[in-house]
Amino acid sequence: MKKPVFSRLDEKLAPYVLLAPFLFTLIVFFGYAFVRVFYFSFTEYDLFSAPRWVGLRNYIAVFSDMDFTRALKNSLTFMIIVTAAQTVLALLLAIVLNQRLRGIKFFRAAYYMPSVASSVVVTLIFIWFFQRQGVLNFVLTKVSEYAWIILLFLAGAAVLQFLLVTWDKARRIPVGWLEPSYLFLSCFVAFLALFLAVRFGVLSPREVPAKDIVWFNTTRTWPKFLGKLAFPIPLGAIMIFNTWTTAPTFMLLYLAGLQDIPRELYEAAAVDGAERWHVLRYIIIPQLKPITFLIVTMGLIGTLQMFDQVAILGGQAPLESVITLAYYVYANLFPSSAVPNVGFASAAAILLAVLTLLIVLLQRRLVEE
Amino acid sequence: MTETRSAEYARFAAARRRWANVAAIYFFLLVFSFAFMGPYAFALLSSLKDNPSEWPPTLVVNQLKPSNWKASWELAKAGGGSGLLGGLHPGREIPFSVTYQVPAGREPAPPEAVIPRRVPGGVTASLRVKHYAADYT
Repeated sequence: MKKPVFSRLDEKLAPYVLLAPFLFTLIVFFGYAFVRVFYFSFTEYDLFSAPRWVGLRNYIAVFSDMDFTRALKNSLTFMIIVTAAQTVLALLLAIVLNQRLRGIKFFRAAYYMPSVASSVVVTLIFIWFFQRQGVLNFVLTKVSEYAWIILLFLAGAAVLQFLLVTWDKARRIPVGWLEPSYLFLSCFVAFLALFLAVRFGVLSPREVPAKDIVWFNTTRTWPKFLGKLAFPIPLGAIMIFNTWTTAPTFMLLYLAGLQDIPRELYEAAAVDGAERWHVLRYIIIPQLKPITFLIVTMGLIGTLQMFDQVAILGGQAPLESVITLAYYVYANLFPSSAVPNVGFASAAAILLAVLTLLIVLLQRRLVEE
Repeated sequence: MTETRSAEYARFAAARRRWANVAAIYFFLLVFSFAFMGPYAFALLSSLKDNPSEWPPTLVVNQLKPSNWKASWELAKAGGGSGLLGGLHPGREIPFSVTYQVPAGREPAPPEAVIPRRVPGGVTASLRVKHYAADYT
């Protein structure tokens, strides 16, 4: 039976009607805005007088600006390090959380906390942590004081492990050198012995001057041996807390992916005598490939557009040490005590968009290969 | 006989490994919890302190110590008759102790306690107050 004309029309229209709200937002707030920004990038415009066509002058000015070069270098360094760190950390967290253990729901909620909290709150807490007389320098001072006791602990645990495994091997019991139960026992005994030794004054931490690392108000770079490729220390501090806040979100995606891996694959690996490393290398990582692609893409885009943490940091750090491309665009669009330089900022914004697109395309090509 | 012992040992080793794995997982879970919740917990505790940027940083918060609550209650009761609202009423005796440092070799001079004659800030309150604690020292 032939369907009525209106019914057929409805079927064709229905998807567009459902998509309309999203398409409206996309066309008006992204499409139109992009076209306007693209047009402004070829003009001289200060929001008060009419735009004046200047051709490619803004693009040439952007490329000859030292701050743009710094922002580009900072953004690329930030993108590479943070995307890699947050992806690896997210995978690690998801593997640890993908267990059926008592209390696992609490841990899942606890790990997600940094992603739930406001970026402003998290940045303020970290600014406080990274002060010269802050918690981080205190922890580093303590690690320095107890460094030789920590080394003693590691050496003691290694010796105990060696003795336990050698004892078993002498009795012809098949155990590996990293037998987990013995590793746990060795660490526990070594820790208890050293704890008691410190508690009763047999061993004492060495006296060292308190660490006075300037995390924000500095233009120093690290690591020195990388020369011009070394990144500014304040940017490193932002990398640490940016990874800390974004990794839990990506962890959720990995966790969902891990729960979709068929159990038969693990069982087959167990039958074949696969070690943990083999399971990770040949089952987990290949099975999570589509999610890794999604996470890396989101990570690349997010890190290239990082703005809020630099803005909140404000005058705490020299701008040249923390400036990123997104902040560069903003600083030129709304310069303090100067007229807005919309054309120049638009040219920088278009370059940022093109760079993001190129990097995502490159990543996609690499993944396909 | 040897086979039975070997099978028993294998079972024992498997159970031992399972428990070690569980312990290792909980260990990692706790370490990561510390990393993710630690900054919030520390910020929360520090928000209660008089000086959140104290050096060295410590987890001890004087405002949360029951001994301080008890001392505060007793002091308020001695001064104003009510442990909860406190105050300093005329004629009350308030026991207190003070610890102070003097340079080595110098004789410590007994400290002097002075109760200032504080006039309440509001006009009505300042007119209503007739007795001052300072008059009873």
